[in-house]
Amino acid sequence: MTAYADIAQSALDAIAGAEGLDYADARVVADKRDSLVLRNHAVERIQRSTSAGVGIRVLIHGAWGFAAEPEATPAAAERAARRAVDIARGVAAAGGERVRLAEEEPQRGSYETPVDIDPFEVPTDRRVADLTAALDVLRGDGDDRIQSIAANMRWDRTRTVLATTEGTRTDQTITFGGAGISISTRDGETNAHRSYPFDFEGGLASVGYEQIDRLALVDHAALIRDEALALLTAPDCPAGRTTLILDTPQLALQIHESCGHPTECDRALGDEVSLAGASFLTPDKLGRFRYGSTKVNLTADSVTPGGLGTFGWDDEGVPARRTPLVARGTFVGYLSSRETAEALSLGRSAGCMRAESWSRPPIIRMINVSLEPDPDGPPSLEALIADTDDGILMTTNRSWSIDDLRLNFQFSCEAGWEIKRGKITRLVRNPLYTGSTPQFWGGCDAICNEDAWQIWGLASCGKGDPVQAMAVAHGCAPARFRDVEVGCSR
Amino acid sequence: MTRVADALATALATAKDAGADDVEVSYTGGETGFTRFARSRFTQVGAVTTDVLRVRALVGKRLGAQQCGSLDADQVAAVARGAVDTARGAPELDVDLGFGTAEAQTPGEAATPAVPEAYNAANAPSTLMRAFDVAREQDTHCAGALKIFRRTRAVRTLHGLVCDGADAWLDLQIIAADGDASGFAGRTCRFADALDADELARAAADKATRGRGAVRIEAEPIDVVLAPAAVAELVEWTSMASFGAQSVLDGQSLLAGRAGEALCDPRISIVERGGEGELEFDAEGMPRQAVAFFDAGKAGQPVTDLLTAARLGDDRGSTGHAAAIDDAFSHSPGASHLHVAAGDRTEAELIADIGRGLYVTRLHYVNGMLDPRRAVTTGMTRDGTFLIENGAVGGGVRNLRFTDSMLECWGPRLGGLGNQLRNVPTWWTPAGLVTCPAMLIRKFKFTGQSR
Repeated sequence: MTAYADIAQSALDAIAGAEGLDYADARVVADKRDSLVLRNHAVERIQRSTSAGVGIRVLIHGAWGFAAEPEATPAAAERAARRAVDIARGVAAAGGERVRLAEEEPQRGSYETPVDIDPFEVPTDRRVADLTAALDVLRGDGDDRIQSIAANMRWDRTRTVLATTEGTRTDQTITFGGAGISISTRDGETNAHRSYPFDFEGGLASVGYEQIDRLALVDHAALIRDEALALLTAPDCPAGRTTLILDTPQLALQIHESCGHPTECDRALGDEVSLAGASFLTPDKLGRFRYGSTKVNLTADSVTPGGLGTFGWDDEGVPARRTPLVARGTFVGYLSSRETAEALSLGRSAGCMRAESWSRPPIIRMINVSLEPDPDGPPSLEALIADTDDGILMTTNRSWSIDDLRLNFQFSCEAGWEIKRGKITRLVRNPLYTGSTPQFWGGCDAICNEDAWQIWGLASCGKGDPVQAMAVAHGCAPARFRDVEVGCSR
Repeated sequence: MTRVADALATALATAKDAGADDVEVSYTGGETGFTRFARSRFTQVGAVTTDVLRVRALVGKRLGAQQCGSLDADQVAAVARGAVDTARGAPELDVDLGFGTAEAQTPGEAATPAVPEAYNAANAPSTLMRAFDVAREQDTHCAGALKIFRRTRAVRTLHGLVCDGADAWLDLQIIAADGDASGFAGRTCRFADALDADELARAAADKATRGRGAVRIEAEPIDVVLAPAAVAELVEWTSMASFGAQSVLDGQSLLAGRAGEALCDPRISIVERGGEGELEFDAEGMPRQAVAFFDAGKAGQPVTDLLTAARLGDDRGSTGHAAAIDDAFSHSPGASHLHVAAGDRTEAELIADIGRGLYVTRLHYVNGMLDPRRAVTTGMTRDGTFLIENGAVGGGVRNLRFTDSMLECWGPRLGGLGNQLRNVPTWWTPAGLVTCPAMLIRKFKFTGQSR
């Protein structure tokens, strides 16, 4: 079997000296995924998926071309490289402005996700037992209002070898995974759903099987079961403007939609307008636009331990780094690539070019986009609630929608609680909140400190055309927002 | 197909030798060509070849699966052995499951036609550049994508099922934009059909031009004519939330326990069925049955795969709607080509029936998970929202958020259906289409504004 580095090199060798070649990168990728889904104690899915292939990107006379083949062999790599050149030539011949790339030092080295317990060595029966234990608690005494209980586990490992015409040679292996549980209840025409830590495949992190113990599924199962049943008779969430506290599972999605996506440089430049939309954070706002209150500091990084956006290099060889996006409430940075960094004179790429697999070209994606904790903030969600006179606490996303500029959003959550005089008074159902991004973050007046900070992984962020699913993460501590429009999603 | 057929045979034989009682081998592969553009320049252009092969094995009542992205004989054999090993380690299923048999097979063709010359890799950029020039005549620039799909699917089982099929199609979506104004036009079609990029660019530019100087209006219930692209998004999300068997098993679907109930206006019929040139069987080799979710307004039944059909105790068996093996987002059965019955009025007649209202070209970031039992759905308008006054389309309107129950929109507030059907591609569902008309809805609930 040919070494992956040699396969990548054979792609570059095949097109070396091609007329007009400005740049090329060759990725040889092998991935493996285990998925296990149990529903009502029965197997819904138990599967291992593997693939290996090559994805070649070339820049000819300033025009991109990409081709991919489903084999990790020198012949496939050479075939893809020549095809990518042909495609780029067709684009260049049609005319248009030339793409230029920001400078980046060639990289050499390897990176591997630190793993205590290799999840791919854990036998199926142990995985099933770990999920079944949580399902046993979810089922409880078999209340007939319980419609469905489910538990899922997923493990991914991807090895990527990258070689570029600039001399970069990197080899990295990323492992991530985790688990989640959910319960659906119904009484007549009233439905409820609770999940832990959330749907979207549960609590995922770039670690080993030790993540399963950290999630403590069994401990949380009784809580969400009781809440899913109680929601069936809970009153609707009251409507009006009030103070909103978001617990971290929902705040992570709020960050994802209203900070992560609008700071993607391709959106800001209009390159994603046809599908995912554009961004209100246009380049003229960089360094001067008031995005949120002075409490709000948002950072993109690919170095936080456990984050699904943590790696050694992105898919064009830019090393892992941190980039402030919002500093003391001011918009200061983008998620960028070498091309967009050059287009906007940002100096360097933020290292955000990522591809779902060998079969997709890298595009600008989130990495770990996190809300920094407030060192002077309350130490816990309970302390934040105690500091709040009147409001609503919401957790765990149920639905998500935001406009094509990432301004007007509406999220509904699985559960909410009324807060009166610093205490939770009652559970409310179908809670929903809506707002406009800068006004919402402008109303952020409290963020808990680092003791309450957690990082959550989302593995199915969809973007691109053809669509690509990407693993990203969001760290945050519970936060409070003033004067938010809330209501009921029924 | 020799390469694929050999791999399928290897997998079947290896899994059988490894001790499987039943085996299903499913293959999906093909080529995707994409040409993405924005600001009338090309941003991502590429071609991807894929092979995905899945082996599912039953050992007694234990089910296991492994999948690989290769047809290499050694890898395929390893995957087949792995599927049997996985099954041995799995808990027993709660129902009896058997893979397809010779009696269930669907005859089909495995060949795909050649890509039309104007849209092959060599010519697509220049074809699109001419379309950009058409849009430029109205001072607009283009964003969008041209995609070309050629897909083959093959399924074999230990008990003699043999299915081979192929399909291919073109999809061109264009947004013409100018500052704050944008307009959309798109078409999805088979290779044999005519696709005129210039015409689409002109239509998108016309909408963008008409939308210049868009005004802000109050977010309140108002009569709307939804163009087919907008209707399709509402139907797609309702389908994802409610038309698959898993959501019925979970009790969350709007169909659960309501078969035969009149939930919508009698003019609403929504059916899943294959169209001309489409694959006639699913990833399990089951023939794709026509399934009515709404038949003259009455609730029907969901689509199923082998496992959910067994769990539902459904007399229909599998309806042939197992998730595609290369679907990154869903592993549950789902509809892939939804047909909404046409009405008897032209789009102009629907518009003429509105005193004051809106024409909505397209929607953005729709979500139908708010309350699936009532099909409560939210989203934003985009790329061409216009005021209708005294039965005529007027100037542009800034984008609005809606939150409304589709059962109410398609029930007491349905004002009419257009008589022209359009194919609209779905984004969440691989190879999915919605074929639907324009729709007039009374007092469509707008609940917020964009900018």
